[in-house]
Amino acid sequence: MGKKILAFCCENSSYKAAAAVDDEKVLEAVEIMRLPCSGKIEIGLMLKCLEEGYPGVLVLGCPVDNCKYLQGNNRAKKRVQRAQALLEEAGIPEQLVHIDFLSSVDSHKFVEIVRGMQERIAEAARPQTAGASTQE
Amino acid sequence: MSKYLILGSGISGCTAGYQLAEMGNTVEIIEKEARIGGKVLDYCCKATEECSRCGVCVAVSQLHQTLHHPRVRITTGATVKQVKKASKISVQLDRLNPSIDYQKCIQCGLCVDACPTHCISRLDKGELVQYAVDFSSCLLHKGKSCNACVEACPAGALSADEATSELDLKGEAVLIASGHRTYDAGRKIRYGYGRFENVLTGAEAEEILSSRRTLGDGPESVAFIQCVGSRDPKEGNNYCSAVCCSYALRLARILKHNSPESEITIYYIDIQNFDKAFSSLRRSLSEQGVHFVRSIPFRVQQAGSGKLQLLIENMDGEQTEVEHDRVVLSVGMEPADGAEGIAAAFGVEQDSFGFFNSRAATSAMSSDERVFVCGTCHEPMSIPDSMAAARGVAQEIVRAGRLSESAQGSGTKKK
Amino acid sequence: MKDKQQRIGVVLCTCGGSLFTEKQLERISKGIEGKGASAPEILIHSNLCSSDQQRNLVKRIRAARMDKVVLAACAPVDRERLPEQIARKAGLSESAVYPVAVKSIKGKARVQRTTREIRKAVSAVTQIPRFDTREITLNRSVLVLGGGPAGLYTAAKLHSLGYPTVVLEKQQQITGLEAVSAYEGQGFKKRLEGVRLQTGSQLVELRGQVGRFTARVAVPGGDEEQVEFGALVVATGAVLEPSEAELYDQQAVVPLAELVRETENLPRRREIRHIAIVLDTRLEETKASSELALQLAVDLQDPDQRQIYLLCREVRVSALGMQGLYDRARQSGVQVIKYEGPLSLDHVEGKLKISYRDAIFEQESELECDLAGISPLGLQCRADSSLAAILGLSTDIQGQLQDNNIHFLPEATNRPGIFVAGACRGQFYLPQISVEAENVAFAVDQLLGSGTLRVELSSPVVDPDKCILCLTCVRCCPYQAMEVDHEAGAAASIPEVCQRCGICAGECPARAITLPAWSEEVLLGQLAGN
Repeated sequence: MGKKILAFCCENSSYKAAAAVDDEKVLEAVEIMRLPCSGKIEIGLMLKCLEEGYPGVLVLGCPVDNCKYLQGNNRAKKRVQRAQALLEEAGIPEQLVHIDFLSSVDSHKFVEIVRGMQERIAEAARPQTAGASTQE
Repeated sequence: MSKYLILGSGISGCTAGYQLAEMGNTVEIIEKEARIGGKVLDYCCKATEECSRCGVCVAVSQLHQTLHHPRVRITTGATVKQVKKASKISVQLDRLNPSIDYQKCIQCGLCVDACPTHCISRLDKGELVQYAVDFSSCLLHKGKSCNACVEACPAGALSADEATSELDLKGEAVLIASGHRTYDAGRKIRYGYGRFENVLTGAEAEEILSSRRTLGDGPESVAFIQCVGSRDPKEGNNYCSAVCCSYALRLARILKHNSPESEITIYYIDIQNFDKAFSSLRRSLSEQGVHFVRSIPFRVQQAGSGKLQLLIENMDGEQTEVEHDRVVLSVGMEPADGAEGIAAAFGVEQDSFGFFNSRAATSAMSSDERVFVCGTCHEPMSIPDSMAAARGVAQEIVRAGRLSESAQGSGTKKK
Repeated sequence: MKDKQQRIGVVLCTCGGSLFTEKQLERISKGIEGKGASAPEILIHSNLCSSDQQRNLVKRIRAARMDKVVLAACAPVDRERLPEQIARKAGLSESAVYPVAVKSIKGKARVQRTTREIRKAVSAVTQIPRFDTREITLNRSVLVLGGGPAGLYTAAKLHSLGYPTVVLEKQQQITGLEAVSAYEGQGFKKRLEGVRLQTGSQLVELRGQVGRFTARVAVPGGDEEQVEFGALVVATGAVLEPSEAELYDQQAVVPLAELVRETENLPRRREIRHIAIVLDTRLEETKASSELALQLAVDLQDPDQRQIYLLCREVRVSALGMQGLYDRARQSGVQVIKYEGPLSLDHVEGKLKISYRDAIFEQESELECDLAGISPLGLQCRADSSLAAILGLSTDIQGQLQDNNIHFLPEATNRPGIFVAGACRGQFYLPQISVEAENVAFAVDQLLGSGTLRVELSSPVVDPDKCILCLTCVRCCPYQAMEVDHEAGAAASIPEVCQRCGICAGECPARAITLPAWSEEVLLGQLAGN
């Protein structure tokens, strides 16, 4: 079994939303990693995961003003942005790391986010062509 | 420690029940419907990237905690037959079977598979998982006998000896948290609810948005009509339902956010504010480009184009027509079905609209010192306010209990 | 800790034998088992919901001298009671019992996924150290700041629960008694007997933590007192910005409360024939203001003598009875004007001219009156920001105390042990203030009731070799749970305040902070289990 997209889920919102998801394909596409708060995510860890060959890193936290620990989600957003900046510097597509926000009752949003991430990763993997038309 | 009875397993009843149980008391929650949780289960999260503080997620979390509290027992499918007030309050119930004991239920779902008419279903909302029976499809209620679910259950959580059982519950005090009924938009014939496909209520919009990002496919023009069934002397509802402005504004915000090319218009009389962050929400809506029109359309009809046409009359009596793809009727709250029966059974007074009275604005105690009222059966209120009020009631109930105990202890006779 | 050989147990609850078949259980067990001394011991239980089975399990955990337990059961998804209870009874720290929600794993690949989740959990829990606990004795007295309605309600309710309560009021009088007695009757005073009401006193400094606060209080006469308490309630009300007070000239333009006081005298002042009541001047007000304004308008309106104008941006009637009050006001002849945009007041030839844009008729208008009562809550009225700074409390964008976070409503703040109620957090409606006071009383009771606080020493650990005392953690902690340990020359966490969110660990630029139960090893451990 290949390495899956890692979804770092805050246990107060996205972890609960993920538990109510029915979609088999979506559940098979991600490895859910539990955090006490999205604010725990570290830049080094995100980059390390990509280094280890995981196709993508998702950080899922609570919406602004919904974080049980007040500021965790805002902190996480800045760290993901920093990680994306570092990836860009290194010539790696920055969309391999992505942050999104959902509440504990938003299971359908979890499905959308995972699908969106799959598309983003596929897009990043496509070879860049300039000018010439391609057949998809 | 004491035992308390609560009528209604909605967010108010469950919050108060949890609080009372945390303080060491035993709680029996009596629920009329087949599922616990009340109307909150049909509401959606109204966050964009920013929380709108609607309270749905914390409410679901609370329901989950209450359901699993060892000192709380919830009986679903139960209606009150008779109330007797003696040294304790005794409530006789008719309980529809099969009945699920939520303390024993291990959520394995075997009953769902075993049922020959598929009348048991699993309901998921966030972390809340429960099983509910559709009694109308159950064989027991068609005069047949069936034990399939009882036998399938490994935890002994189901009982189904007969179609209905009688139950007698006793408690030191009763909290009535029986909730409300959503105004039936069909009563406003001119709005075409039930006739036109794209006219729906705010409650229906919430339900749809619990599993989708938008109401339709692609950008559309959506109109919210406020005060449907509220501030309406003709309908007998001359009061404000308090929550319709808040849910309409929040729904408008996510609709516009999820579909930026959609046009959202809110037709209103006055916008009620609902929490301390209201001003910033109002401002962000204007920034998003949501339109606010200070008139209430008097009719919705089908335009030639197939869209919906709203007719508005201005101060000078001139009529204009505006077209929209979809109309959301912001329906208000009314006292629940059966409110009169409950009031009579428990000896609680109703106001002119049918809501249950408390003895003072700052108390949840009714005229009977052992009967309390809280939540939307008492007054229209939002989810966060209901939860705060329910916690307050729990405190008041315990305090009243202590006062009556000490009064009895000192030899003073209680009336 | 990690060097010592750990004994790990995996408890698989089969839910009465229903969750998995025998074969499936075998497959799962095979998938979990390892080799050698570190192999987890697998215990299969049938019905952990029953207390008998739980007792049985605890016995087996103790007998096998397990250090860590993975609980793959029907326990709810998050860290709910069962893991905690089992940990406590088995003599393990709370984080040593790691729950895995196998119940919610549905679908065809269920067995496979269950096996994987359990392996992840085993791998993660191996990395979690064992924590000691500390018992902290709590001071059961409560300090309430503010003698307004919120402060008095809270004090009365706390007192009835048996907590020694002190109310500090900055001004010379207790201001809230009148307002509360109007709702509760004169008997309310009795409920405050036993509460120490201290006027002319103000908190100037706060030290300490939840359960053990110390404060310096400025008292009349220029002295200072030291007060100790376990919980603090902030009910200091809303204060009008001094610049806004210039709007009032004490003659023709007065605060609304003054108009209320003048209600009896006004009939004698025959030259006052037109009175304007103005709400929402700069900020949107609430139903509390509407109720006051509508009632005042009804009381003052006199078709023979006086015309009352009520100017507001929205008519707020979202409490039962208020629509009726609004109807009564209009029926009695009060002119209710809805305006939008800026509103200006000018003195012209001895009268007051109010210019505004009428929202209904959509045109610029003006009206002349003799007296205008302007609600201060529609001006820049905010909580005492210097007090917020002293207490380390966050304010929201409107300058009111308390973040606009749904998890904190209505009474919690970012500091454990400090609660908030009333106008300082934006609540002006008295019946709801009473509800908030109950919520505060309950929260204080939950906190201080047992007299002790049992704290697991699992809060962040700072490596003094790496810590550069940049104070990032001190500044980014929402709870003020990080302080400087001068002896160690590094930051240190305060276990009883820390909420174990991990923000500090994530933020530290020197990577000096570890949140032990969620360290990188634990997180990567989840992956290793795959």
